[in-house]
Amino acid sequence: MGKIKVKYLNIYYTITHKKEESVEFDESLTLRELIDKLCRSYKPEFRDAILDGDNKLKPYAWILVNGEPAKELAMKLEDGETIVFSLPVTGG
Amino acid sequence: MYGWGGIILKVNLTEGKIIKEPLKPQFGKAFLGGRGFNSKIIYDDFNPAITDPYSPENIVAISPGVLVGNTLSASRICVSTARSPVTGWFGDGNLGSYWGGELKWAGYDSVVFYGKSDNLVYLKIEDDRVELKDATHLKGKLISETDAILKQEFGDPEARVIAIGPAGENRVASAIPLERHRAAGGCGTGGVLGSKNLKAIVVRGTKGSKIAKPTALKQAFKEVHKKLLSGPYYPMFSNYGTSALLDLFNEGGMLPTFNWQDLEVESVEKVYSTSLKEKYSVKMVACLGCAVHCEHYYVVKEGPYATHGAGVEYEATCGFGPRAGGVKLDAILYINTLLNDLGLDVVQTANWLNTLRHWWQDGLIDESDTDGLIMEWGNYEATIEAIKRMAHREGAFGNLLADNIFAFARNIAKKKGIPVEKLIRYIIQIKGMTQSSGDNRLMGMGSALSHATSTRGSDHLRGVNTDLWLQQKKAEDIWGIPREMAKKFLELGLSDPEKYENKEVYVAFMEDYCAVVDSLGICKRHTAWEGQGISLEDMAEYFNAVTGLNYSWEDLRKCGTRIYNVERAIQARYGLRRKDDYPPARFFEETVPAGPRKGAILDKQKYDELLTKYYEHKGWTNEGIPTEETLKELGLEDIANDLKKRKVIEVEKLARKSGKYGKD
Repeated sequence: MGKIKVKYLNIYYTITHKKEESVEFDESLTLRELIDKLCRSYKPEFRDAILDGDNKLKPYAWILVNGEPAKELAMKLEDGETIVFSLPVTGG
Repeated sequence: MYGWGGIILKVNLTEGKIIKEPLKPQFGKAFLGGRGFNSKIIYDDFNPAITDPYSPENIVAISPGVLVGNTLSASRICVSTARSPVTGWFGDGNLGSYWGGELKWAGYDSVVFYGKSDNLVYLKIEDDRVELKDATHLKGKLISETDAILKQEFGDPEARVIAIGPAGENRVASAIPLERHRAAGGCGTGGVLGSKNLKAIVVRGTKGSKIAKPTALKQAFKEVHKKLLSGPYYPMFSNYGTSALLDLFNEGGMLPTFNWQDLEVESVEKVYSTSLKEKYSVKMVACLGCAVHCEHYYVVKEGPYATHGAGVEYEATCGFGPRAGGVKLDAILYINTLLNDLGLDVVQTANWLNTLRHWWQDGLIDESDTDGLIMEWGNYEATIEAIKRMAHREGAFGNLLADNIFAFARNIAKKKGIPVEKLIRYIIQIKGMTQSSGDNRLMGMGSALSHATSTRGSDHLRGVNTDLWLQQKKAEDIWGIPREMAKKFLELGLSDPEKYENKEVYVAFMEDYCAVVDSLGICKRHTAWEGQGISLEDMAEYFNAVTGLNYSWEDLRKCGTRIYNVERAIQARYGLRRKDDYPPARFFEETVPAGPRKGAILDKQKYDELLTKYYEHKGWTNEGIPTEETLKELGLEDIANDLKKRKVIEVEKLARKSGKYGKD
């Protein structure tokens, strides 16, 4: 049993109408599985924002795991981690 | 001539004379408009021996870009340029507005002010009729009051007003001109206008634009509109404005707090754009004809900070929020309205006050230096009071701060026997211009070089704001720049923000790019600078449709290179050299204290090497001065000859021969 905090910035806040929420999981959860879960919860907008037609991450999807950009969707998420969905840093 | 209004207005305030000078076609073709026009006009007409920005001999040029005033979404930027009281050097500020469109529709490409009026006046432009009018009834009026009075007097609600507030009249160094809440932020031309006794410029134009190929422009408009709406950042900026950057800078571990001492501040979520949206934002508004409505119109209904206004940007929420050690969003909005009404620049004002706080924290100043104000982190009452006193030059503290933060530092150093260098080290600045809310240690080495070498001082708007968005894996995912350039950038390894190698290629390209964008009058929010889709090829297409010329994107880039070199020559004539092209000293001496990039710091030797390569790439001497060959290749023989006459170029040649300046 584990629990992670998921934070939604900018376009993801528009989609979910939430700044953050907790997501619980039984044994393990990968980033891919989290995204699939959120795509089901906030369909169709969440999927349109983050995945392309081939089910791959869009180039402008920016996912942080404990402040670090996520390297791969297969990564396992650990109890207590914070995941952020946003557009990447730009401009001013 | 298509595209251009065809007339430059030259206003001699000393004599009360207005000259309508026909625009030379070659001038338009070489310098485009906006920033390009201003820079060349300043080079040609201003005597560089005049070091006092408030001298009547200083010149203020205000020009919309050549594309301003047509239907093209995104083209509405005006630029105001002068010798700056913020930096003492060349300085300008961009203004996203409605005013520029009206000026173009009245038939003018630029308004240039010379001399000084005996009394407070404003300039009234109604198509061909241009006159200086008495403005003594506007003395001391806020920007919003001036706007309302002049529109009423004009008798036409479509008339547009650029004005200075009390801060400009009082020659506060960080004063700027505004069209209501739309600010020509940056280099303090408001105080220069105030020193000339010019309160405002009101304009109404009914002639429309002269478009060479209307059908081609209509098609280009459709395509750009589609591009803008499908761009990755459109939904972010249209809903949250630039204040959204605070949220993602914080989550990404890049948000400067406490005057760049830290990356954290308690309860930072209170100043997130999502909080702004939930609590105070009423609607989003846009500049003239723009598809991206990126400005919040906000209302604080009750409490000590009750206010309403528009245009609160990341620089306000960060500069008066985490960088000031506070998170009171209602107070920040109150301050934003106050600054816009007094006519003060957000970035400079925030930095000056945050430097005071930092000195206060380290015991370098106390109440005896601030006329009793307690400049502790997060003290919003003191912030508001300090701003008012500075704008009105009230008391010793307000009067001294109004001169600028360096004058304040010199005074404290003398009074307390502290070395002035020790105090100045606290100011995050380059060439006297204090920095916007990014951290050179974290935004990429291209960004660090670009900030440091910018022609108006520390600046994220004149080249590379961050290297981070190049981190897309494929060239086709890098929006807004020619595909071959994107491929080249990736081949050179520029997508690694921490690398110094080859960053001169990226920086030089983006400097030219931004010079083109500012001179066409396009908002950078729509371009590669912001990861959005309007490319140089698109810009060439619009430019050709509007003017009837046949420029390639390379031709446009060459105009950008030319404009950048004019600015660099202006600075060289003022005395700017290599020593002025370095990031703030603290970024070489203090490591990033927290976050995923904890320990990051700039490397002096690597930066030096990069700077040398950058100068070589630009065709400049190792002291950063454009060579005779470079200037002539750009068609700037007049500037090459002038620099030779003034011994700027000869001195550099001799120095290079002696080997004093290394391998160049």
